[in-house]
Amino acid sequence: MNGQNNAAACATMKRRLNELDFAMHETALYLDCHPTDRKALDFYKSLASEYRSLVEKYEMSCTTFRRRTAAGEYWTWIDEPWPWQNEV
Amino acid sequence: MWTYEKKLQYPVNIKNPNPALAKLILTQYGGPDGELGASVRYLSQRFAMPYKEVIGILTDIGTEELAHIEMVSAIVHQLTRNLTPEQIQAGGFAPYFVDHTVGIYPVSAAGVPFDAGSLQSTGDPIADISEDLAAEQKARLTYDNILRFADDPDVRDPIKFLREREIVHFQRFGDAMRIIQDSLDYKNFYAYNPAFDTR
Repeated sequence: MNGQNNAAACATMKRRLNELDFAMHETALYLDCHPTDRKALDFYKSLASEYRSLVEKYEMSCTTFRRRTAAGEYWTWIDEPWPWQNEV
Repeated sequence: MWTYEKKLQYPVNIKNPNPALAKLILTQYGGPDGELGASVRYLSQRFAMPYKEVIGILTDIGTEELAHIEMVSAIVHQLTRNLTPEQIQAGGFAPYFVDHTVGIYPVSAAGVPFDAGSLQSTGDPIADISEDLAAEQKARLTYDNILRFADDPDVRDPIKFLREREIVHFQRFGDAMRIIQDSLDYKNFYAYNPAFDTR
């Protein structure tokens, strides 16, 4: 029961992280040629701030997708699934 | 330098194998208008660029194309699982299979291995960005052509994402072209090469 809740919570957090990451990437591409656009800069900063706190929470409760934080009880970096592996 | 994050830019979750479709989609890895060529082209062109904004966009789009190589490879990997010899043969996949089994290798749909002759890095900003605009359109139309042959919604979904990215990249390269032209004499953009001549 608790395991299932955790899996669902992790999936929700993961989805939000992917959304934020993508929005930041799109904004970054725009900022590359519009580096002084105030609205875009503020948008990027608010996304980055939400991302920073959520990724910390995600790494504590779920797993990590960054090698920098992959040293735990063991070297979790190599854990499956790798991104192209899905259950069929 | 590059950091890898252990996730796909957009999810790929395919349930049904289809080696015939895999053969076509692999062209966006090793084909003339695929993601590998795009990545190498943009990451190479940035060194001669005398505009920091354009270096930025070439770096960031070139990096995104690496993530697209990964997605295309993931799609092909998931389309070529649990195949019988009969399925491999019926899918026209046997020639690739004898050389690569179900390994991922950069080759076009016609079986031509990746060729850097399909890209240029000219050291001339206007020529380079013109090529990049065309490259994004070529990649977009290739995804359009792939969609003609893909009925499986699991396949259509990530392919449509990749296609949309090409359109966005085209817009961004348009921004880059504007920056270059704005810095030059509007009466003659070709008076000198800003990447080489000192005026």
